[in-house]
Amino acid sequence: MAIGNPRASQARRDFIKAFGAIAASGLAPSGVLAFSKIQPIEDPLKSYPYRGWEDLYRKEWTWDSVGFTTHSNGCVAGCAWRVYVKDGVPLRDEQVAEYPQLPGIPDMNPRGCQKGAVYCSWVKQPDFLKYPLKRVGARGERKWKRITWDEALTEIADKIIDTTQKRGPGNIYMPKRPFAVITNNAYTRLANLLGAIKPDVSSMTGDLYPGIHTVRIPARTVSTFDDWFTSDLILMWHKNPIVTRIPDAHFLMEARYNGARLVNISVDYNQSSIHSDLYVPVRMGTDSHLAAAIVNVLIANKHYKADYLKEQTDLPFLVRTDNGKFLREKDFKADGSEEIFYVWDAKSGRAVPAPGSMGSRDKTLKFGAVDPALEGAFSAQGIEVTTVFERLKAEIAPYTPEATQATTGVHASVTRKLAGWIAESKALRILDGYNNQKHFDGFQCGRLKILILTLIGHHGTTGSIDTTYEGWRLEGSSEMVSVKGKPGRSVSAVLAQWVWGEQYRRTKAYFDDSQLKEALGFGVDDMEAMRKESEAKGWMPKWQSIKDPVVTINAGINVFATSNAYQHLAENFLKRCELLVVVDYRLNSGAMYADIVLPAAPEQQKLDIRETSVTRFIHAYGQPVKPMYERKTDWQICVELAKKIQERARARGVSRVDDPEIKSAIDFDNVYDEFTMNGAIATDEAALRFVMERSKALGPGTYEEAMKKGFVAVGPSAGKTGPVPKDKPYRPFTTNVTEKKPYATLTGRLQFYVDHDWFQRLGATVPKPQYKGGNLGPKKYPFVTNSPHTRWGIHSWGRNETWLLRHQRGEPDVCLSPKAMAKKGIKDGDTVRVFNSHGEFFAMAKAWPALPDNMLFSEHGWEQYLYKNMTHYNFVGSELINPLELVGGYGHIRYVSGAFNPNRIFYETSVDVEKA
Amino acid sequence: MRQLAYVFDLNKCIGCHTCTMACKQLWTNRGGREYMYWNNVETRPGKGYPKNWEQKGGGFKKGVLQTDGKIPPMADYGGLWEYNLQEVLLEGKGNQVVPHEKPTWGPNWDEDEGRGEFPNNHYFYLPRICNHCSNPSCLAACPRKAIYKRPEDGLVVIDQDRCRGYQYCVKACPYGKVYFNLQTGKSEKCIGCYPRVEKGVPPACVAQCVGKIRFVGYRDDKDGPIYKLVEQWKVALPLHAEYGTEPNVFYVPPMNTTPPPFENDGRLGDKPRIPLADLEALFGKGVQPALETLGREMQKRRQAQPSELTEILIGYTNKDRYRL
Repeated sequence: MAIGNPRASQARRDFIKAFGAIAASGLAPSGVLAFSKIQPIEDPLKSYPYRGWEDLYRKEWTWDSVGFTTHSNGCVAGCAWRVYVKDGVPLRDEQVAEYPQLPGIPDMNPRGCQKGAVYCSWVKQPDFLKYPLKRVGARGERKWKRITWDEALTEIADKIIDTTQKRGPGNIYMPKRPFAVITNNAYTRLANLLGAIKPDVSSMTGDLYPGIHTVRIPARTVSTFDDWFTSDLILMWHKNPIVTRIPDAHFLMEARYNGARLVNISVDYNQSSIHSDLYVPVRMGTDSHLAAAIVNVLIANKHYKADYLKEQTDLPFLVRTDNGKFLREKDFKADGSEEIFYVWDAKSGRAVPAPGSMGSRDKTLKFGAVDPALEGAFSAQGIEVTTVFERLKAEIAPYTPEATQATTGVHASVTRKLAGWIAESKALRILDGYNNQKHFDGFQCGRLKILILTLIGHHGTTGSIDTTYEGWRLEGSSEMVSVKGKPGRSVSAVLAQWVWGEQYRRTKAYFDDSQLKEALGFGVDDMEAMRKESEAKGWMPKWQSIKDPVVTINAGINVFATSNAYQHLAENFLKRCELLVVVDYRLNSGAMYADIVLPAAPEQQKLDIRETSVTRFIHAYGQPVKPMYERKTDWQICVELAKKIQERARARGVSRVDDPEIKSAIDFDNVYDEFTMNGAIATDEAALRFVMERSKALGPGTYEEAMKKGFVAVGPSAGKTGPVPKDKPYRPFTTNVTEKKPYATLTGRLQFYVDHDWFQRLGATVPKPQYKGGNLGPKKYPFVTNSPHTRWGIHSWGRNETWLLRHQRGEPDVCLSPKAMAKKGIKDGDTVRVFNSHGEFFAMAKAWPALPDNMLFSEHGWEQYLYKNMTHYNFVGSELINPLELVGGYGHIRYVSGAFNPNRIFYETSVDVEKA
Repeated sequence: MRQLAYVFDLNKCIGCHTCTMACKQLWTNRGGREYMYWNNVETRPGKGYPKNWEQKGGGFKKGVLQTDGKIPPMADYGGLWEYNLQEVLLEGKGNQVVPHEKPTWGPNWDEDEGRGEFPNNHYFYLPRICNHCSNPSCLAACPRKAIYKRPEDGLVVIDQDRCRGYQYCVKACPYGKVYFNLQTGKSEKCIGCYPRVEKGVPPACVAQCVGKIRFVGYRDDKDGPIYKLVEQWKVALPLHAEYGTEPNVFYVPPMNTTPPPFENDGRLGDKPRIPLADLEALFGKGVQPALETLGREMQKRRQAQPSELTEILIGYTNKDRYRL
């Protein structure tokens, strides 16, 4: 663009200056008033005369109304947001940032991440459902016609009744993921009334902690995350909080400023490494060996709190040396208890029963005058015994840092340094992420991690092992889901998908059986036999083996996405499913396969609450906007479905169908009355008040407060393992220490010895690596894979949001180290094919120096429809089940939905890659 | 004349881009501003946004306004990919939801890459906004004097009425923080969220930063964290001070010795993970004393001794970090 003639410009400036002077002097004739608006711009660094235009941006920051919401059903964070609405359209979300501060602790302001910040844009994307849809093409063709709610619900209701009558009860499958309370409860309550199968979706996503469950109940427990500030050593292990705990990550760096050390233990130099004081690069699948080495050092150097261990753990409990079983009362008398155990009293020189176990009448951990021996070998009325601690010592002895170095790749000096930091810490915190149990040896690794914390006496005292999620105790919520005499059918989702997805065939074809046998001591056939045995014994529910998912109502879950063998599961599952109903906000990958799609109201359009115990706050979905188009809230969908079922049943003369298998019955002609408690909880508000007002930790008035402020704090009784303090963060399991309250385990202690037959058979009585470590996938595929959560989505929630995609590569990508890429002749940006004998997927290659050369890294949650040829990173996985997770009939170690059953093992997959 | 200033603590930034999305949703998701990220976060070492902005020229050299600045090509701002969700998912057309053009560069393309070789690689995050400079080259370059500093807070704004879209400012800003709006024909940039600041509300990128890394306040507020971190403790440093524009955004540089790198045999080494020279190239010679100060004060806390500096950097509440 040409600059004007400088001389002309100068002349003009002089002219204006002159005029300015004349105008200022008041000598200007009135006819030149038009020019009085032109002010000289002297020095724009100091002043400016034309500032009226600034209203332009001021006007853009205006709104008509504000409401409160929280976001993602699948996120454990819980954050309070305001939604700004203009002309009835939600325009923008901004964090409320008004949480009260606890004394001496950084506050939680603001809570909320980038995904929440773009939420208003996201919900406007065209894949957000507006009307009920029915498939007109083949499944997966994505051709739909719009139907009415009445048509949709009638078809579903009739099919439910038909199926129950023709195939018997229990052939209805209802997976649900939403973490919003009445949303979640709606499907559970309905499933119970219908005798439906309710899968444990935590097992599906690999979010269980079965190993830790054997030690303490509940396994999956957290402090409120402000408690991170009180720790002086924080281990991030199988957890990447900078990426996956965005609202709480600041507590880590604040703790660091406050004197704490941060340690990141990870296969890749992930994002949480960058602000750490120590990064420990552990080889994939060998963390249990590293953990064992730390335990080894702590024991060898006597860095353990003997008094604490004697009282709080089963380490002093006596174990028979002949058969490796706990010494039990039954060993002394025929009618003795199987659940009373013994310690050796050093004072009196004999074995005495330990109080506090499941069979003990004395519900305390107090030993009184007894001084239990931690070490030694004894003779108890002729039975040779030793202590659990001696057994542990013996089995851990080989796992020195020097011996484990070859396995883990971690230099012994680094392991010893870390163990030293642990030994000298005053308040250790282990952040144990969901990633752990997605490895085969996650079971034992989990036990070892909690053992580390326990040996130094920090569990329930100054420290914690924070898993990723637990909830608050809300009696109103429990009351809402339980229907007297109608328990429904609970199953492990992994086992359900194993059977219905025909995973045995695939697993058998994939793994190298001789390699498995060599590593684990058993192969695929043995594993399948154990699965069947577990079902036959009633340890694990067997509904999947005798029922089919004929009618599937899938709410809030991307149907096949979180699985191993996505395409294989889809193909086989759909053969057994005659009616697939997907209830969701978006036409996501799973919904592509549906027969009927129902539009659920997204977060901003719901009335509900979020409860996760990572903060003391319950968050409101305050429904700033009523459901748009023909969307309905999940609660309303279930209410109306129940109503339609009742209506159709009465019209068809169907009433009660007996369900003797679960000693129950399905009252089709009353299901709406039962669901809504005779109309009492038919509306969202009534349902929500029911939960809040009947929960001790909330109560009357809290509904109003939540709707007014966007959040409300829970009272002290909300804590499942201790009270929630008023002025301090919540830390779990404190009452076991302060009040000597027994744990809900068989031994009443933090239990580190499990003498279940299968644990003995598999060499897993004590925490120790179960096998030599490393990836169990066939060696012919040179890459191990990882598909952890990304900062860019919560599972597939937010994963296709346009602004977020623009901040990535715009399409699914996989990462490799630059060296690995060079070796394969792959350049950054190339399309590559990732494959093994099971399947393939295509993605853009991205060079990531943070990876070891043998790792292929895909972030989690990509939608299948974003991939070339509708492939997906879960096409290449194959299922493996850890038999330790199949056991039951052992006190606290038994099937519990959301706590103990086979966990999804994603990371025993191996792949290869080539330029596509 | 007062001057608002900011401190961003790079030891806390987690690269979540909440700041970016906050600004995007408030100001730039519409009206020709879509490609602009008035706030962006880039991985360093890295090419930044716009791509290679450190090579675009502009600024001052020895007090003289440089006229060699470039206007970045649109491709360097990254693709504005749009997706055919409707077609594929609801109309059954095609077999893949794809961006309308093949992605080849984006505003965060080299996320987390950094430099080095595993396990000794390094990366950190650098959030950037307009620096609301005290000697802005954009202001100096505008032939219409359509860019000015507000006397009450020192925010640099472009008069959207008087701007004629010449783009001298786009060329002149050495930070690449002025953009041209193809719809309105005006140049636009970060406005320091002045509508909010006028009401005592911090800028969106500051208030919404969930990492709690940001401080905002007036430079003359001697009791405030800006003054303390910049003038008193000298741990917060300007970015590319050599550009001569006197930026008012200051950064606490990332600690460069932790986590320690590894020797070839797997033992811990004692060299810094991030070369000091890399950080000095960004923040100048003040880096080493700043990191030493930081290390000293953090060591005090390790020994349970008090430290005023760490208390400031912890930034307990909004009141501690935002002083408007």
